Amino acid sequence: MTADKDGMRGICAGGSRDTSMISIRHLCKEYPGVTPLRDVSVEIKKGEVISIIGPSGTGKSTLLRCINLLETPTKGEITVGGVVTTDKKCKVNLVRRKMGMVFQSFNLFAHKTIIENIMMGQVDLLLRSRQEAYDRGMELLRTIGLADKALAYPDELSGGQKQRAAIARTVAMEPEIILFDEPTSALDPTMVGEVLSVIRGLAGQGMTMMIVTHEMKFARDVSTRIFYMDEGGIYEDGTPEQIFEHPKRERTRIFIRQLKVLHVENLTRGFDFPAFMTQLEEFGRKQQLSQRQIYTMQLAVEEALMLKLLPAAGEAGKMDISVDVEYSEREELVQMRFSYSGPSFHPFGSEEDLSGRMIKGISKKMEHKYADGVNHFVISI
Amino acid sequence: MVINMKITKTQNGNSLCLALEGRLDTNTAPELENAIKGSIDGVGELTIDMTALDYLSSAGLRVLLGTQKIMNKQGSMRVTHVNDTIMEIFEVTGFADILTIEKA
Amino acid sequence: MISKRGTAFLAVFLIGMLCLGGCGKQGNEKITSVEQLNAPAYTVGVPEGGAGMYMAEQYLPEAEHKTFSGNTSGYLAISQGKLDGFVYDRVMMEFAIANGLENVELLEENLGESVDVAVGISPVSQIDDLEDKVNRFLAEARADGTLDDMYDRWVSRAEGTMPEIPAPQAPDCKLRVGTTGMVEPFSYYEGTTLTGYDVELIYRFGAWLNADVEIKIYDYDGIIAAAQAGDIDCIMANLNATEERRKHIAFSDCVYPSVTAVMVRSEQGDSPEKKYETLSDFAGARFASLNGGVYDKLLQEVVADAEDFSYYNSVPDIAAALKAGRVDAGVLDEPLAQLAAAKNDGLKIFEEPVVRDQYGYAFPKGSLLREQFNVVIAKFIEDGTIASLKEKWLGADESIKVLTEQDWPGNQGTIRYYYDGAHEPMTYLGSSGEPLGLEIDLMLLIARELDMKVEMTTCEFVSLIAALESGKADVVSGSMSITEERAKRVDFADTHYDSALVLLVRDIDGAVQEKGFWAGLQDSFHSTFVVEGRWRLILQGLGVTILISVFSGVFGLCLGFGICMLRRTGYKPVQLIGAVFVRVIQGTPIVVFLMILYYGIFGSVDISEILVAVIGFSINFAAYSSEMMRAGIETVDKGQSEAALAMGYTKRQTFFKVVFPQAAGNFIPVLKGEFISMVKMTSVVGYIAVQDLTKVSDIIRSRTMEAFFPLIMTAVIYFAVANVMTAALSFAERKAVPKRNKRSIKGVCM
Repeated sequence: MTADKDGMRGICAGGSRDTSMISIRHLCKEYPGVTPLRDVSVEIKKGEVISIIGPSGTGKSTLLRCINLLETPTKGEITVGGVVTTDKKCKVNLVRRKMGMVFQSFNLFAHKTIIENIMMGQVDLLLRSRQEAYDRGMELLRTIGLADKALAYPDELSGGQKQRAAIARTVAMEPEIILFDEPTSALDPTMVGEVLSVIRGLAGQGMTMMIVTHEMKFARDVSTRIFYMDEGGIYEDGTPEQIFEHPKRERTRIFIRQLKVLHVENLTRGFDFPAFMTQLEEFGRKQQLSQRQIYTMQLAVEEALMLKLLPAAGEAGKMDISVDVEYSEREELVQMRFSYSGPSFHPFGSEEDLSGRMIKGISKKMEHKYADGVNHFVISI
Repeated sequence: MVINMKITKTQNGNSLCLALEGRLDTNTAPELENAIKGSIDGVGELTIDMTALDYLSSAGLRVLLGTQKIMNKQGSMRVTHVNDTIMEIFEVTGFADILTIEKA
Repeated sequence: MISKRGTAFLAVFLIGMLCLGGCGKQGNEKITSVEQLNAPAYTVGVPEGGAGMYMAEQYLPEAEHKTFSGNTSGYLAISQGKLDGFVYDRVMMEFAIANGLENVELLEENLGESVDVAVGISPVSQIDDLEDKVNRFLAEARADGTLDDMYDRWVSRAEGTMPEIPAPQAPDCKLRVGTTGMVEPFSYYEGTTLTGYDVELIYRFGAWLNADVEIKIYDYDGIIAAAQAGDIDCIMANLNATEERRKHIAFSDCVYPSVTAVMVRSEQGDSPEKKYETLSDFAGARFASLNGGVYDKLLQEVVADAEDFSYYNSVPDIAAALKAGRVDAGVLDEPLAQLAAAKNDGLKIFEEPVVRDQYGYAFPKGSLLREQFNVVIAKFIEDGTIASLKEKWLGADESIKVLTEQDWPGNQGTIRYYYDGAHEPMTYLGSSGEPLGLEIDLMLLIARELDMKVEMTTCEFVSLIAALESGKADVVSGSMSITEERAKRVDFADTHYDSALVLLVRDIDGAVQEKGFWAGLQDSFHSTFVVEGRWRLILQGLGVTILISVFSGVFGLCLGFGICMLRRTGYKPVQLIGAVFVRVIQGTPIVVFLMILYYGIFGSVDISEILVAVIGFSINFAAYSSEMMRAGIETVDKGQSEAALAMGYTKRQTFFKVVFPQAAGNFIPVLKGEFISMVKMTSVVGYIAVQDLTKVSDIIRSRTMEAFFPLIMTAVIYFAVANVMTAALSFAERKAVPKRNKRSIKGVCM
């Protein structure tokens, strides 16, 4: 390890000696019209296996590509193994040799056989002899079960085989960290498993990895750390348990549960009721909800919001009422979350309340919580 | 989605049929109330036809209740062609016992 | 897939095309006068920029005009029926007919006045007062008879030999002369040598001017432009000094006047030659005979209705008239006829002789010499001397026709021998006036036997007998037939030559018309490749084509690669220049581009034409190959480049190890095709005076007057060249692009 870092030192202007392998400070990446990364700062230590999840277009791939400088950061500083890579004088190609990347579209060299793909970098960049490169390559291929495809060309392989070969190509270079950019997104579901198992194997060997992925279950099993990326940066950072079971933040939660949300806030007395009804109808249509579910949502708004909360708000003063309609396809559950400040108040307080009886009758569950001065009333449909 | 409600009156001697189309909610309930007040005199048989009714809230229930009470004195009232969801509402609120409901 | 309507339309279209094509054969009437031709139904061909063009405009305004570059194509068009008339210089057309052009004849009338043929002078020549100098030279050459002699040798007698003209030892200037090399007998190629009237004129003028002469070849189209641009100082190419041309260049005084005539087809369509079986078939035919002969009477005794006689000055004239179809038979003495048949492919001797004849030496009545001659003659007949003399003097090989030297003492006296010097091959005069002929040779041999000297004197035929009678001559001869009439006045020796009066006719079932396909092919092959060693010329042209193609290919490829790389640098202005360059080159026809380079950009630079061609084609090929390379590179997906970069390859390494090998696999096949296209495109370099394969084929065509064979041959050669090159490129391709079924990895034990 120490030797490696010294070796790296010789390539670029050396930075501080961190225990982190990669140190990112205030990274910003702008394109004309969109800024996927606003201000990202994070430390990545050796041996970590980090899965990066989040909705599309939130800069997950961009983050990875800034680390190995396939994209040039607009602002900020990245230090890899003690070397400031964002420095102009840095010899980027030398830094990259310590980092491997596996792409969504495999990107094998089409004009070379599989074994030659694996040998190329070793011979040209690591200056190994062809024989040595060949032997190591064959060993890797055997490990991942592709030894019989050594002399085949990439276009003769299936997607899963190609990706495994691509991984072997990267591993052959003995990098310090491997970056995976959505490694299984382009694969047939039947082939996803074989690739994931290879990645799993690498994780088991202690390789430092950053994986952008949509495979939640896999991310959960394999990672030591999860980045949920949203709103131009790392929105939430935690262990798999933290992120998946108890997401702290709103959007994380919504993402984890794969919720579809309709959010309306600052509702006041004069709010446009028919318009809200129409919105609910459209939301329901879009999520292909049943007529009954749509009915219930509309009823909930009419009975709880219009007939109970708003009148109460009128008396209590400002109430900061907001409504979140969340639909989880996975769980097949629609939840109407009413949040409002003020004293603790249940809309259907009285048992005999007709509205309450109606809602209770056709919904699954009603819950009321009061914490920190905020009421959370949830109707599950 | 029809926001408003349309009421179609059909009078046959002392039988009155009110066909409801659209939504019966807080906004439209007063309209029904007025319609009934205006035509209920001398009606022995009142039919509320809910074939084209999409939505019914507590406000609607209240109007129905009031109307039932009036008809109890001067004749009979029935509610016809109720859809499943509204039927369920009638049941969980106990209105199924108060009103005379004919599904068909 | 094609609808009924579509098929109908297609059929009508094709039929229409055929009709149009067929309409090439317009006006099937025989044309006998200029006036007749002057109608919209007829098409006349005119030479580009030549005198004929103006004459046609003036005298045949109603007819449709078609322009031709030079004469050969015009002749062919006439014989193929594509033209009804061709307007050109009379002398040249007669020459062409004498040389074998068939099925055509010239109308009697000439068009307009004669137009000067003169030397074209470049207005921007480096040589001071060039026009003046040329005129002085011409004046001198005319005064001392050189010009007339040249005209005589090249045109009138069609001798075709270039005299020795020594080049100046210490030239004090450079003279560049343009000519066409395509017009016999003025400027044409004999084998690989340029020769002709104009060429001789060039060398003479060069010597006169004390200049180092450089001759450049152009088409008539380009030759004026070349003079205008100053590429050449003057033009000696049988150029008519027309008004139009005078606007662009100057002209010297007249070298000789040219008369414009009209050529038409002689036999309309395919009317078959009359087949003559016996002498009586010749009744009513048209005959030709030599002046001063008695043949007409002799013929009339044998053939009925032999009234139509035309008299000619020489045997070659009769031969020409026969070939042109102006007469049906020439009436000649057998030896003369034999010589004519030997020299002229399309003529033969009609088997049945008109009348048998015998030649003899004539002596004065009562001459004792006669007996002596008879003894020797009998001996010579026996021992075969006469036979070998016949072989020697009656064949086509001129080189062996030399007389025996008078190297015996002549103790027995001198024979005074008078002969007529116009009876080839019996008695005639050589080019320096020396006596030649079978009878002369025989005379010397007899004299040697008798050990007597011979004193020879020429004399007109009609005066020979008178010479005997007046005692001036001891013996006379001149293909003199032994007739009863004559025997009254002279004593004849025994005949030394059995002759006959024969008819010289066109050889119809011989080699001329129905040659038979293979024989015809063999003939064409022979005249295109073998005659005058033309295959050497073809090889030269082929060499030039290959040279230009290969060098342009290599330079073009390198330049194209450079441009391609330039356009990938990412500097907007550089990219723009590259893009504009490619667009402009691709949009300019290669012919135009070459001419811009040659006459424009390199106009005032003395640069080799081949170099200009290579530059032009290199640039052209570069533009196309850079586009192909770009396209090939684009098709390689960027992901692979990213993968290589991510591994730590530099941009350069990535390009050469990942992108380029795959791009090459994509664009090499296309490049192959483009290269072959370029090889074929080089056929236009004739426009800038380069003698490539196509130009050489043109030159040969102008000599052989054949259209089909040389062209097919040229196409075949190009085809062969293209195929060889394709094979070579495919070989290179296989080396560059990796094989699919790999069994082993280089440098590794598996």
